[in-house]
Amino acid sequence: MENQELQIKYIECPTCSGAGVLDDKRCNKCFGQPLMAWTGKVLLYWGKRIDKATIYQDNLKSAFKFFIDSILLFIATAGLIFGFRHFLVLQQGFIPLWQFYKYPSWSLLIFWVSLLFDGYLFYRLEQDYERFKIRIYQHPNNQSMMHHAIDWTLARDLGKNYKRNVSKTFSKEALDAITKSWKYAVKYKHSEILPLHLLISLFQYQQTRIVFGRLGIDNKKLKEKIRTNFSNIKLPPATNTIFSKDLLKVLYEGYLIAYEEHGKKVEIVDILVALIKIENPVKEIFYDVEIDLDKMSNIASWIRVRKLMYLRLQRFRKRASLKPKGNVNRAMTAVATPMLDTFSQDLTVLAKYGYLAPCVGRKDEIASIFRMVEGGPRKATVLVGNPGTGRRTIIEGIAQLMAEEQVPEAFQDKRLVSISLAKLIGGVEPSVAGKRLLITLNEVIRSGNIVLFISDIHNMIGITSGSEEGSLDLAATLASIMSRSRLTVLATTTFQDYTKYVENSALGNVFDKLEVSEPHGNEAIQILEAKTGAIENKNNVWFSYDAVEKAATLSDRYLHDRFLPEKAIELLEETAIRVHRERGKDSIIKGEDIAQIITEKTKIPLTKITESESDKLLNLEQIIHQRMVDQQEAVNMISASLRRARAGLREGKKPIANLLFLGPTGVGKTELAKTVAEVYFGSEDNMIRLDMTEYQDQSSIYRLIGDTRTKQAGFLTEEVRKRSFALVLLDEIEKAHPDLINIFLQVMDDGRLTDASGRTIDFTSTVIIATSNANSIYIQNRVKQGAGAVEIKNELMEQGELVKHFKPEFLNRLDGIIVFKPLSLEDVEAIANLQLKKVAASLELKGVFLEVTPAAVAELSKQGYDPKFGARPLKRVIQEKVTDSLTNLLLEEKLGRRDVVTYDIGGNIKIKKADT
Amino acid sequence: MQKKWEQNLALSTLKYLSIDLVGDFVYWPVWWFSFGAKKWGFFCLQKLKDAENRLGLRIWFFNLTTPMFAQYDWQGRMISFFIRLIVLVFKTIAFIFYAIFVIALFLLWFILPLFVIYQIWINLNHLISIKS
Repeated sequence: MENQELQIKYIECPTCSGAGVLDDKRCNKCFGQPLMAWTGKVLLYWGKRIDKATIYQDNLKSAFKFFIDSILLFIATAGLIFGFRHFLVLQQGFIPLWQFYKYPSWSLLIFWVSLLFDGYLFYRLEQDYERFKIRIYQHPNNQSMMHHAIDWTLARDLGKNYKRNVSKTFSKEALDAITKSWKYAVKYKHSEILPLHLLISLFQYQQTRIVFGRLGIDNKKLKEKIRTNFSNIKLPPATNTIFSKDLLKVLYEGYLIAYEEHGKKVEIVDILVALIKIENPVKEIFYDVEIDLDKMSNIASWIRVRKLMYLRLQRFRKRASLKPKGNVNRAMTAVATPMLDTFSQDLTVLAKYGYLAPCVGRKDEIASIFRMVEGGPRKATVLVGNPGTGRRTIIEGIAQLMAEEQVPEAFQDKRLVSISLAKLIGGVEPSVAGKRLLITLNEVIRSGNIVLFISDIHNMIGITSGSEEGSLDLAATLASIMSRSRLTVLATTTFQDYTKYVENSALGNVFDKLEVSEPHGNEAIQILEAKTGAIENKNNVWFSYDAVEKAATLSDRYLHDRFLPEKAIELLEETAIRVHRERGKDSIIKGEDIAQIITEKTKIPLTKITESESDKLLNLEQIIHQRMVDQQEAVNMISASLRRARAGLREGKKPIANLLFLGPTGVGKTELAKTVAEVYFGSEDNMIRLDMTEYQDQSSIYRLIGDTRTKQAGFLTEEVRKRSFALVLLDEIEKAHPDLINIFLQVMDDGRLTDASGRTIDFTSTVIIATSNANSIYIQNRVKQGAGAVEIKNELMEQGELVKHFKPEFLNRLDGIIVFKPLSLEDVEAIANLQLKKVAASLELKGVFLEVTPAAVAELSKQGYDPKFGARPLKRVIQEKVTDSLTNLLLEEKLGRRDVVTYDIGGNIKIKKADT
Repeated sequence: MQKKWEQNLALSTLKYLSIDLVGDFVYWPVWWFSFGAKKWGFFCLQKLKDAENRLGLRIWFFNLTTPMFAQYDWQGRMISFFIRLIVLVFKTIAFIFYAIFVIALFLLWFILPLFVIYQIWINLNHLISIKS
C-alpha cells in the first residue's frame, strides 16, 4: 500500500497565487508559505523561514548555546578538580575515602554543586539529541482521504496528523545548503531562490562531490553550463528574497523520495534526485551532461546501500556475538558430529566471524525459503538456477541471518552446515561413501541443531555400490532418510541438471523447488553497487556509475556463456586490477574501461568511436572499393548497415545485417563478403564460410547446429560461439535443404540460435550474407538489354521468380536483396589492374618491381573476359601469362634485387637491370 | 541604519534566549523526574534484557526437560535434568545479582539529585557555622 501515494498535487495560496509576495511585500495570507503539496495522505509544507533576520537569529542562538555549554563544561571540570583536592586532603589525614562526604569543605561543596550542573548538562545534551532525532514519520494510511479534493482553506484546517513540516526532516547539511542558496540569491540581488542557486550551494558538500564523481561527468562542462544558466537568470530586483515555486517543489519531492526509500532524514542525495525529477532549468543542465533520472536514482540508491551496509555490519557484529562458535547450540541439546565435521564447513561460524560477503536484494528468495521450510509439507528446498546467478549468495545470506538469529523458529539456535560432496565421495568406493553419508546424516539427526546445505546436489545421483539396475545410490539414500526424519536441507542445482536428474529421481519428491532467476537491469546494477566496495578497497580505485552500469548491461548482452551477476562482478574485478596497474592509485574506472575489456574478450567494437575509426566508417565505400570493382548498390547498402551497427542505432535483437547477393558466378559476391570481413571484422579469417552445397540433405542439419545424441558440436554454432563478431557467409544458399533455411529464419529474426547442448548462441554481432546463382541467366539477359540492377530486382520480386527458389518468409527477413550486375569489359580491366597489383606486391617482397603497360592490361582483360563467368577466367589468364613467366624468370635467376620488369603486349617481358 | 537594525534584533534575541534559558532551567527537574526517568528506565530494562539474552536464561528454562547432548535414554534424561536445574539455578542467581545492580542504578537516578542537594545543604550549613 506504501507505494500507492498519489501524484503530488500542489496547492497555491489564492491571494498571492503561489508567489509569496504581493506588491513587493510578504503576502499576509500565507506568510511565506505560498505553496503546499498534497500527497493524498499528508499535506507537506515548508515551515522554516529563511531570511536575514532568522539566519542572524540562528547564528546568535548557536553562539549563545555554545557559550552556555562551555560554562557548564568549565563547572564540571572545576568540580572534578576540587573533588580530587578534597580526596587528597582526606588521604593526608588518614581518613577512609568512602567517608568523604562526612567531612564538609569548600572543595566538597564545589564538587556537589558541579555535580548538580552536570545533571543539567546531561539534560541539555539529551534535548539536543531528541531534536536531532526528529525523522520522517510514517504517513497515516487513511484511504478515505486519498480521493479528497483539497483546496487552500481545507488544507489549512487539516489535523496535525495530516500535516508534515518538511523542513524539520531535512538533515543539517541539507538545511545548511538551502541557507547557502539563499545567500547566493541575496548576493546577486535575485528576488527568488531558484533550484539553480540550490545546485550551486550543493556543490560545497562532500556528498554532492561523491555523486558527481561517481557519475564520472565532465566537471568543466557542467560548471560551464551552470555559469551560462546563472548569468541568464532574469529576475526583477526586490527587497525580499523568497523561495521560488520550483524550489519548493524540489524540496517536497526530495522529502517524498526520502520517505519512499525509508530514509530517516532528507539527505543531499535526495535533493539531487528531486532536482532532476521536477521540471526546472537544472534538469536541462543535467540532461546536457548526460545525467538522467535513472542514473541519478541508481547513484542515490548506491550511496544509501553503502550507508545501510555499514549500519548493518555494526548491528550484525553485536547480534552475532552471542552465536556459539562450536558445534553445540545454546540449549546444549546438540551432540558432537565428528564425521560431519570432516566433510563439511560451518557457514554460520564463517558468518559470525565476517567471512561471508553481504547478500543484497534477494529478500524475496530468502522469504520464500523460510516460508517453504516453515509451512510447506517438505522441509527441504532446492534452489534451481544457472551458475553465477547468486544461489550460493542466498545461502550465505541465510547463514548471516542465522548468526544474527533474525530467522523463523525452524532456523533458530541452529547452524547451517555445507557438506562437501567432493570430500564425501573422494577417493573411496561408492559403498564407503554411502556409509559415510549414513553416519553423517545420523549425526545430523541426533544433533538436531543442523540445517544441511548441499551444493550441486545432482552430483549425488548415480553413485551406487550396487551393480544391478535399481540399486540405491547416494541420492536415494538421502531422499529416504529425509522423508522419514524431516531433516531441514537446502540444496542447489542448475536448470539442466534439475530436469535431467533431480526432477524424476527420489530427490524430486523430497525437495521443494525454488527458481533463482538471473537479475537484469536495475536489479543487477544494484547488486553490483553493493559489491563494488570490496573491489574498490582491494585495488585502491573508484568505480564511476557508468562503469557499473556498463558492466551489467554489456556483459548481459555480449558475454553469453555465463550469467549475471557473477560475470559482471568478475568483469569489475578484472577492470579494477588493470586500471590500477595502468593508471595507479585512486583512478576512476569509467564505462569506457569496461567496454574496452569486453571488446578484447569478444572483439566486438564497443568503445566510443575514435576519430580515425569514424573517418574509416564514413569512407567505408571508398575503402571497400579499393578491393572491389563497381557493384555500387551492394557496397552502399552494406556500408550503411555497418555504420548503423557501430553507431548503436540498430535494433538490438537482430544480426547487424541479413543480405542476399544475387547474380551470376564471378561477379564479386564472395569477394565483397571477404572485403567486408577484412575491413570491418579485422581480417578475412573472421568470415565463417558455409558452402551450402554441402548441406543438401536433411541430416546435415546436425553438422550445422550439433547433435544431441552424439554430443557432437555444430560447425556454425561452435564457430559463432567462439567468435561472435564475424561475418557468416552462406554460399549458394539455394542449394541447401529447405529445413536448413528454416533454421536461419530464426537467426535472422531473433539473432540467436540454440545449439544441441542447449546453449544460446548470439548472432547479434554478425553480418549474415547469403549468395545465390538463382536466376542468373535471367539477370544476364536483362543486363544485356540494358536494365539496371534495381530494376532487375523489382522484376524478380514481382514476377515471383525468386519465390521459386526461396520461401517468402525467408525473403521477408532479409534487410536487402542485391542484384550483382554481370561485369563489363571496363570492370574486368579494373579488376585486372587490382589483381596485377597483387602480383606486383608479392614480387616486391623479392625486391623486384613489376610494371604492366596499359595495352598489356587491355589485352589480358580481353583474354580473361567471359560474360558468362565474370572475372573468374581473368585470374587464370593472369596466372598463366604473368605469374608463370615471372616464376620462370625467378627460377632461372635472371631477376635480381631492384630490377624492374616490364610486361608488354604479347607476353613480352623486358628486364631493366638495376645499376650496380 | 543597518547597525541599528542588527542591534535591535540582537537585543531582542538575547532577551528571548535568556528567558528561554531560565525556563529551561526550571523545566529541567520536571524533565528529570518524568521523561528523563522514563528514558533511563527503558535504558535499564534493555540492559536487563541483554543480560538475559547473554545468559540464555529463557533457552535453559524452556529446555529444562530436553536431554542434553541428545541422550534420550532415561539415565541421560535424569542426569541432564538435574544438571540443567543446577545450571539454571546458578544462572538465575547471577541474573538476580545483575538485576539488583541495574535496579540500584535505576533508583540512583531519583536519589542522586536529592542526595546532592542534601549534601550541598549540609556543606553550606557547616561552612557558614564555621564562619560565624
